[in-house]
Amino acid sequence: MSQQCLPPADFSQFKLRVSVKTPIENAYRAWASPAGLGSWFIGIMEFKGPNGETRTGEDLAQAGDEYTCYSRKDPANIVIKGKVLKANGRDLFSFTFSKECPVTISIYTDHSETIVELIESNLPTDEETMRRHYVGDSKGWIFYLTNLKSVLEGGLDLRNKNADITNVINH
Amino acid sequence: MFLLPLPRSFSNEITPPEYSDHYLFFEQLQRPYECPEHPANIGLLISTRGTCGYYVNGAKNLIGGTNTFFISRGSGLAIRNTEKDVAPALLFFHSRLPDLVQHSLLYGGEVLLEKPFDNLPFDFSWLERVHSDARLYETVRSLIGLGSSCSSFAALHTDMVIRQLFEDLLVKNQDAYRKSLNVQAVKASTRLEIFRRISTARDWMEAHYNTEITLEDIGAVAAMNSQHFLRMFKQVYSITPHQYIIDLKLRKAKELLETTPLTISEICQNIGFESVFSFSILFKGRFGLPPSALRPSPPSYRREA
Repeated sequence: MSQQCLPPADFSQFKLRVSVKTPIENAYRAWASPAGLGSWFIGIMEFKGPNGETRTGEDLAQAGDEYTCYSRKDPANIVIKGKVLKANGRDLFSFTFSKECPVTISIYTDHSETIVELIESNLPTDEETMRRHYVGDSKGWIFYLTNLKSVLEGGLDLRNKNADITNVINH
Repeated sequence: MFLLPLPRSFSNEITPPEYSDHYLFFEQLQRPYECPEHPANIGLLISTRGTCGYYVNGAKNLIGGTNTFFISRGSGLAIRNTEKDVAPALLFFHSRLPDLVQHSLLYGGEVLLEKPFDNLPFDFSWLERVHSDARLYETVRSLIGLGSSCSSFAALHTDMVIRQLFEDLLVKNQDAYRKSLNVQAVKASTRLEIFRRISTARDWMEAHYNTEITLEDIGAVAAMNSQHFLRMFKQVYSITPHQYIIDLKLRKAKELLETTPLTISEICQNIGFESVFSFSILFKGRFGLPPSALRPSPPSYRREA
């Protein structure tokens, strides 16, 4: 096929899928609750409802909640802040992430296994954003989705726990 | 954020460079380095090793240790560094960040996304001076590692650190501006200059609170006659320099009581108090509790004098 026939590459979004041997409801809790996210994601997650109420433990975040993710090494240090856009309580969870772009998590069954599908969309397509967010975010999600699978399947938590070690992909 | 080595020149224009992102210029110099004066953008200047000569609007500022120079937009910056093994680091903010942060703090994130705003005027010159703030310095220094890190979401984390840093600076600037209004001066430029000198002296007091310092010493740091300094300080902070130092000592003592196993008499020595008795009275007056009530619970910390 000649090069002219190739469709233009779309750098405004990317999709990542991971298969996990766990019920859909477990996978949903892993995304939508502070305890669930704390077991595999980048930091300590806090969700606050519209009246400032804090969701704790296994409480499920709701659409409209604000979230703040604090560094595990230095809890005074915020890693990211954002907002929950959608949360249906079953299989769809969406939130703002880098550049306020939405990340949508869909959870469904495929060949008797649970699939967690992540789509980060609406990314600006200038060269700088592509380098930092399209490339940087997709790399970051690949590690964390791998860790999600490992933790939910009862395996190792792959995150770096040694505070003296920095500059590693497992954070 | 882009992490780059020191350039030969930052700008040849008569206006400050426009930064489309945060830029951190950092280099462990193996040679003398000199950069001609140019209009700088808003940023923070430190030196992670040795002392670097930053000249701002012609005034020499030797920056080392945990000091940070906050430079405002449009100020003339030159760098003259004749020593090797100095490691200057200059963080310049995204040119739109000041307005973005100001706007979002006032109106919230949603309005920020909906409404365009290009030229909100905001004067950061109240912060333009040396800041003796170890946390500020450490935050800027940490960006050197984050900027070159392969950690997952490192770029995202870097942006958040800078955003937080700038929010803190904005709040400090607003506070400084409010305090500066207490200075009874007709011209705004005079008020700014007096406030800047008083602030420099206050930072110096923070760094030397546990030594014997006199009003004349502090006045000299502010380049003011001691009585004039006394009046100006009181106008800005509503207390005298002496009261300010006592309060500093008491706050430091409280921190030491809560975080170290030092005895009360050791803490007294540490903060420059000669009498444990008068310290205890002042402490109780300030915090409503005797010093002994503020020891942490582990029994190992309870070895009173």
